[in-house]
Amino acid sequence: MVDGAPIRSSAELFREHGAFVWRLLRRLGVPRADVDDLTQDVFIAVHRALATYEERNQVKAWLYRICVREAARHRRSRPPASSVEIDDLDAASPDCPESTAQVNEMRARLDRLLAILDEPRRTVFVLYELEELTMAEVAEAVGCPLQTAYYRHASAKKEILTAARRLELKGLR
Amino acid sequence: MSELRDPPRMIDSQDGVPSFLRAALEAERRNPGPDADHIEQLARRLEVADAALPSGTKASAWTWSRLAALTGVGLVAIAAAAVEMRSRETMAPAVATTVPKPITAPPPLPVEQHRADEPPLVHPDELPTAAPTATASAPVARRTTRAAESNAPARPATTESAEIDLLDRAHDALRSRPAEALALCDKHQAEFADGRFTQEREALAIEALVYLGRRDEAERRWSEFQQRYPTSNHRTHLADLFPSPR
Repeated sequence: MVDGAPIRSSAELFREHGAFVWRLLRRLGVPRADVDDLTQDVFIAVHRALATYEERNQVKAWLYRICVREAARHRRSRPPASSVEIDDLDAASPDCPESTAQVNEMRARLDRLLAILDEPRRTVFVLYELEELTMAEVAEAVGCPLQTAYYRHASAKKEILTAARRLELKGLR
Repeated sequence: MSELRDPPRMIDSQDGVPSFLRAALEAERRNPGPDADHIEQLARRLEVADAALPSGTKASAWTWSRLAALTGVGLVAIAAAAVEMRSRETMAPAVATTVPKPITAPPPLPVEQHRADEPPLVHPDELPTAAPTATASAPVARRTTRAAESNAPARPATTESAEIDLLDRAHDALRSRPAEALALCDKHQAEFADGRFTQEREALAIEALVYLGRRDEAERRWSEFQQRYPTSNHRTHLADLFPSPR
């Protein structure tokens, strides 16, 4: 046991961080149908380990690392997804949990753009561009050298921009 | 010593980012996630799990193995306990089960293997060929501690640029022209034997070999990759290419 913040139940932790983890797992590519279960898995593991975890005052940083690992593991457990056709991006997404149709469609389009990326580059892109971590924090969460994080981000950004510009030219906005 | 700076985020970049993409990024950033009712519903399910887990009598084998996998601690012991529990749940559910060893502190997650003598890198956005749209209107740059701590000499930016350019071309060619992608990887290997992005190159080369149907070579190189980069998160993606148990 370590000194520091009191140990809380997984439910308490979930109420505080659950929405963040759920959203992060979705951004990392976990399908809507699986994200509830996976989110709960993360918190059960967190609760179990918090008893002796020396960084329990830094739960969120730890959650990033666990979510990255879990999303990767989940993707690995699933059959390889078929490649995404950029030109299909104007089709409606059946997998978007948002409120208004317009916002819905914007997020769905982004989700399908992200699906172009392989898992390492998607992870770095999401953590940097959407979660707004610093690149050092991204490297920490991913568990890769800082240089690798920079490369993955630059490469992901290039691919996303190329795809987005193609869409723009075709008027599929 | 070169200074590493985080690139401008796309949402802040005025040049070259389509407006619809910026709007989509903004929309996703504002995404609050599931509503409060949904979170509360899931939290209540976890309360049940909280009550059940300490006894060890209601946790499923699946749950324990998941815990072990997630935390990376006590994998063998917990997997063994999971098998035992599954067996008991199936064969004799009324019999009290053995409480598996508690999961203790998770170790720091591993850092992908890299050489100690790696020099600092000029950020790709500062290079001529990498992400050219990101250089304008850069916000206040951050200096990373890792860069500041490095005492190694800087690698010339042109070398990094050439490496990135080669690998980006290989990546672009990978699915539609895997032979070209592999040739570019070979070129990278010849020109940058101890380059910065050898791990990226190897991952691309393995995937290209798979697409070319050269399974034996791919598997040999995959095996070498796993030995050389045991914690690389490319492993997740590459493992999908080799479905048989390894």
